[in-house]
Amino acid sequence: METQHLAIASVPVQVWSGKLYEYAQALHAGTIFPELNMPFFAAESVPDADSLGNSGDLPLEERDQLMAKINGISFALDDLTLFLDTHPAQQEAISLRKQLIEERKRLLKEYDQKFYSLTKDCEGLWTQGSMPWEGVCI
Amino acid sequence: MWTYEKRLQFPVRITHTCPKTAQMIISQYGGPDGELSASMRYLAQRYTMPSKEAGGLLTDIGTEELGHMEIICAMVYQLTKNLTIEEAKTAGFDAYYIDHTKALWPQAAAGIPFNACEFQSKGDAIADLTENLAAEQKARVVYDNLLRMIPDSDVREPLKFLRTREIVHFQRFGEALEKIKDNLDEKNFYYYNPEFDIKIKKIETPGLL
Repeated sequence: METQHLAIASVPVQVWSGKLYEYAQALHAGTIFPELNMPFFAAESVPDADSLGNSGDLPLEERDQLMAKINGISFALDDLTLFLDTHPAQQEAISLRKQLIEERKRLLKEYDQKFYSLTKDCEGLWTQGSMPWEGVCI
Repeated sequence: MWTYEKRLQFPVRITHTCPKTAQMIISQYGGPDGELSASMRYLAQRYTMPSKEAGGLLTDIGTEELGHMEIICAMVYQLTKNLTIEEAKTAGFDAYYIDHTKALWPQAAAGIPFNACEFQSKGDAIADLTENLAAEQKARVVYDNLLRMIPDSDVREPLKFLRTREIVHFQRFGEALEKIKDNLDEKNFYYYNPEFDIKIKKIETPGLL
């Protein structure tokens, strides 16, 4: 929509800038796109150094590290997928999605083999591992 | 068809019991602008959308909202997991406790049960996508209000994440609306309803489903 129209809402279409957050940072921010990260003042005012997203000082166990990687890659894929829903011809986004899908598959398989299964395509049982809402495994 | 993945989209690990916080956050489970409402709204609207892009976007965002519902529920659960009867009495959680003990039940912060009347599925692409733009804004305001009230950083991190998602979804719904507009007559977007007036649509807008 190049021209202005009356009596209807308009939102500018995002242009692919190629600048993306690194995946752990993207998950922390809530988007892979820096231009869509628009924080709220009251969310900034309380220091959150000891929060989950910033717990850099705590050494994570191998399982938590792998889960954090899966969360990061999966979230990048979630956000990129929505971008592609409205930008289906964006070639760089298409090839990035391909990479993310492959990497995610590899990580899910590794997690399944070392710990327990996260998806239907893995072989584990509900009795293995903790329930996701328990907060045991990040 | 949906499949389940055994992890949260954003990790939740809350160490301090706080029924009062749970009481506020539960609104994003069963309240008018909550995640359950969002998910059901988008997944209901998609069937009659006149473009694959809009129908696909509604499916993807509707699915993500189910994941957000799970994040909210995990927060409420962890905030009340170790609840004692004394805490239930003092922290404003008493009425909820009587009916549901520590179980999850979709209600607004003020105790009003989840209600499908709170969201719209109107059968007109412009009306529904405009509704969704407003819905994302309303949910953002709820997260703003929660962030003003809640000091615990274990709770704030997931709330901040969910707030940003509302902004991203707003952007995507806006883009979907632009795509629909591209296929309609720019002199009169309201000449007919592309989800209903099929005969006119075939003549006027071959680009729509």
